[in-house]
Amino acid sequence: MTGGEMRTIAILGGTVAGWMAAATLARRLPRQHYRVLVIETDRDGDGLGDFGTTLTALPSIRPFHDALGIDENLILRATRGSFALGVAFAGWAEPDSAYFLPFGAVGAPLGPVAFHQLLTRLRQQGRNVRAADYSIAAIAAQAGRFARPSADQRAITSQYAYGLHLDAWGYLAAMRATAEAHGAQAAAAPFRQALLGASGEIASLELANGDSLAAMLFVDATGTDALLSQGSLGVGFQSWRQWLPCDRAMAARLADPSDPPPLGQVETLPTGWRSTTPLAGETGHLLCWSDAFGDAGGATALGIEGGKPPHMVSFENGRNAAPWYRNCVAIGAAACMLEPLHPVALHLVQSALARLVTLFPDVADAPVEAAEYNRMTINETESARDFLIAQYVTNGRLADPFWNEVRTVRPPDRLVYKLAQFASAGRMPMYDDDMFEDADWIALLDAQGLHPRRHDALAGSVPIEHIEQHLGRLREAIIAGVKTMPAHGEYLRRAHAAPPRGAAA
Amino acid sequence: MIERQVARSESHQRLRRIVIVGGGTAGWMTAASLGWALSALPIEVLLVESEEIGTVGVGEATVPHIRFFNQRLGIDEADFMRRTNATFKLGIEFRDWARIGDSYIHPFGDFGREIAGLPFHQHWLRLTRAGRTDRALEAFSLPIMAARAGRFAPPSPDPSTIESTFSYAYQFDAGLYAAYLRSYAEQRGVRRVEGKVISVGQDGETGFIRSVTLESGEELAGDLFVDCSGFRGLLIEGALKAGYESWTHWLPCDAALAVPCVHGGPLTPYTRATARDAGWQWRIPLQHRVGNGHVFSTAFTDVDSARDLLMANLEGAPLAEPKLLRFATGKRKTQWLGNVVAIGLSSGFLEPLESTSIHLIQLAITKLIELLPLDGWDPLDAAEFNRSMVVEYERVRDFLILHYCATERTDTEFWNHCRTMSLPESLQYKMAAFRERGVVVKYREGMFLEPSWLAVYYGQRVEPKRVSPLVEALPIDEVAARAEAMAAAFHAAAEAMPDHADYLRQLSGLADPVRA
Repeated sequence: MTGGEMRTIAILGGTVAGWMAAATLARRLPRQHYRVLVIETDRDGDGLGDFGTTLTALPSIRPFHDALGIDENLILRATRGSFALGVAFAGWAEPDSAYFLPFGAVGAPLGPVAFHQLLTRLRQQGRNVRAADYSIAAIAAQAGRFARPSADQRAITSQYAYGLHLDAWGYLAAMRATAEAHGAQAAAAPFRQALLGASGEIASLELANGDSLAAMLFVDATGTDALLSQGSLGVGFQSWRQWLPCDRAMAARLADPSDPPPLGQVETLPTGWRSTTPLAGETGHLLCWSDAFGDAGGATALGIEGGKPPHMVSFENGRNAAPWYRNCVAIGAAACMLEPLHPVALHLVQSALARLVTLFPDVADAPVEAAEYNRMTINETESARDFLIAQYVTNGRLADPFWNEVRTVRPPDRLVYKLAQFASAGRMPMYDDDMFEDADWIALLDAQGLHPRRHDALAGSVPIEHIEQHLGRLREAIIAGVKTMPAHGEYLRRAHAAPPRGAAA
Repeated sequence: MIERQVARSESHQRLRRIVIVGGGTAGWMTAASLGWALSALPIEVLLVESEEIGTVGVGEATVPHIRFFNQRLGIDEADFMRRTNATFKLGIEFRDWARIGDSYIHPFGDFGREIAGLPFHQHWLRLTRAGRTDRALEAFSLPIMAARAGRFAPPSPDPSTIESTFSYAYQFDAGLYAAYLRSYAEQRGVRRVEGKVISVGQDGETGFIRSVTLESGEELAGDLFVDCSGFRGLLIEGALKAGYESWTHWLPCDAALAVPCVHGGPLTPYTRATARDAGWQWRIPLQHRVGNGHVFSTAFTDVDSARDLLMANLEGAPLAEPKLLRFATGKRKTQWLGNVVAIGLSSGFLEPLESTSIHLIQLAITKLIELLPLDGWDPLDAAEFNRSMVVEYERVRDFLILHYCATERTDTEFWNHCRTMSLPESLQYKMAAFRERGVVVKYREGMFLEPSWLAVYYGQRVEPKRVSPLVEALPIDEVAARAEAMAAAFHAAAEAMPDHADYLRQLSGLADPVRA
């Protein structure tokens, strides 16, 4: 680009998603040529679906923060945040069962043999083995301990990853501060309406003070409203209701003086599920259900009675048909709406922004960039959707109409294939831009009780005693590793100077 | 739901015997791997081959993945190199492809290091277009600098150093490699049977192969058959009629002449592919001799002219009569059908322009071991094998086509055809993304990664119209200084490497050159 011409990137929605976009673009775009403006609307939520006011970030949040130059401790302080080693699920595989899905690897291979193949071999011998018993994250979570992983790749204490539990508004404020520090600005007045240009692109935004704001590229971060993308431009929405019928949510936050556990929890209810997200001093509670199958018990099921009325949401799982259309890129819930059964929302925003940066256009009309962006985004979004469907379709609650419905629906073809390959011999075919790693898929399906019928040839070659010795050593090392970790509450207080529990309440 | 999805006919029959039909590179790579993987299981592995049937000796040059294949089998590098007359390979030099006189190297390694989170080539484009550097992109590649200087040293294991920014492969005598793997396989219980297969016995109901009968009258029964019989696909095509998908409309070469010669040039740590009037010529330096070949299209030239051209372009005296091979580029429609798995040329053929033959064999073997049906047939095993091999074949195919279509040559009918032919949609898409914005389309599977595509795009004069606007986030003076420092460091690192021949001599000894 030549000369002193300035280009504007207009981000609609002063939401978590919007300020994340602002921070990333302000950090990466040449300041002498671009200005990044965030325009608030009178309906701004978190831009991620507004499922309550707590968020869970997957381990991928660390490189995102690093790239923005953000100190994680600062984020923890700003959000009353806590660490997350994974999620505990109850009632999913069977009504009274529970399991833990750690972030990061489970077990360790034995030479060339994959860990889950070893488990299949042992189970065929009648041994009852649980994968999570060989996950250091799972054992540490169970013990309520936490430390950041060791940098020494040989140490067992390097073999896990962690995410964060965050307060959405605190995180929004931290993202806004970061964005502003990198030069992004909030517009002087909120949004009134969008004006289309002659060829159907967005020409400008009219603000409440009458100003007109033209821009080269618009980012729609207005959450499920998708005011620009689906609203002004009329981009379609593809519903996933047939597989994921939940459409109501209710959220509340309750004070909790105990130390937060380093994990979230999700348990099934007759017509949906209930989750908790622990922060320092309080806990976020969420109820998610399908209205067609009756209510889920409302405030009583959330554990709040008599207090403030809980926050209610109606939603539909699905995705934007063309996340990048003309000169508008939709991110967050404007691009993909998924109930937060797994904490994918922040990750999808991060990877959308990484793609946008890689493909950032220097012209308003960039069909080649848009096509490649949409190819990858849609692949990734649908793979996240499939991960959720996989959990529903393998559920073991046999007595409830809701659970029977989600168990008997035919999944999307690619998921049918994945499930069949895994059930057959523990194989996990992976596709372009899959969001979860094969280890995550294997851990989920194994925990859901979908055990492969066969192991592979390499596992068949290892003597059972060798497998048992391997598992024994692994377990010892894990327990020894966990013993070196402090209690999560202590680590949280000490490492981040977080206020003592209770003081914040 | 899940139970219903995977309901299928499955016979619970234990796998007891695997019969590999055909020796050669594919056969013995398969035999060695199965010997390694199955030695503790009660599964017998037989390989039947005939000394009367010659092998093609395909792929004397490899890609870096071969090292993982050897490492998995526990093969010692120095010993292997000594016994196969191997040399090191840092990439492939392409001469005369986009224009006569051009030369570029497709290296096994990165171009520069990322600056401010952007791929280096974007910064290089900016500097070039602003007239701030006249260095070619190859000045920022350590393996290319080393290759051009005839030097070699293995990469550093420390990822923070520039000496870690590359990988390497080998150039070896495929016949000796097969012999080497044969002794490895036989030590691990694989039984070799000498003989020529004259008939195939099939199950009347399922069509499964039950046995092969040799000229001697001996009948070899088996549960699973691996077809390594080469182009003809004795089992997969001859018996099972799997069918063939031809790609000759995109890759028109259909014949090759191969001839070894004595060394007449340096022992380069790279392979060379020189474009010719109706095809291209390879040069693969081994310790004791040089492998040469001319791949051409019989629609645009004839065998005699092709032979003359090859023989006129040898660096030393020929060591044999040139051997003619005819082929049809494409792949077997189904590579695992019934109880037959096709590996090697029986599964398809892609010309050796990017040394992919051995790699495709290796992938197929890895998949086969992963999917081996120990107790009964599940159609999902074949489905997964076929799915992943199709992806690999098609992505290699697109990469090969790029070499032909990205040309400015108008000097022969052959190049006019290649320049103007219609392309697979998947390749059109990739090229559009690069032409427009310098974006290399990324996939999860597929052996060639971003640096490979960059090497060929830039090497063949496909240049992006626009540079990423993000490059301007850094002052151009700073980027220019960092690029200069990088080039100097790459240059110094290459100069610090030993001469390729010296390194080989010290590692494994160097075979005496063969004399004509």
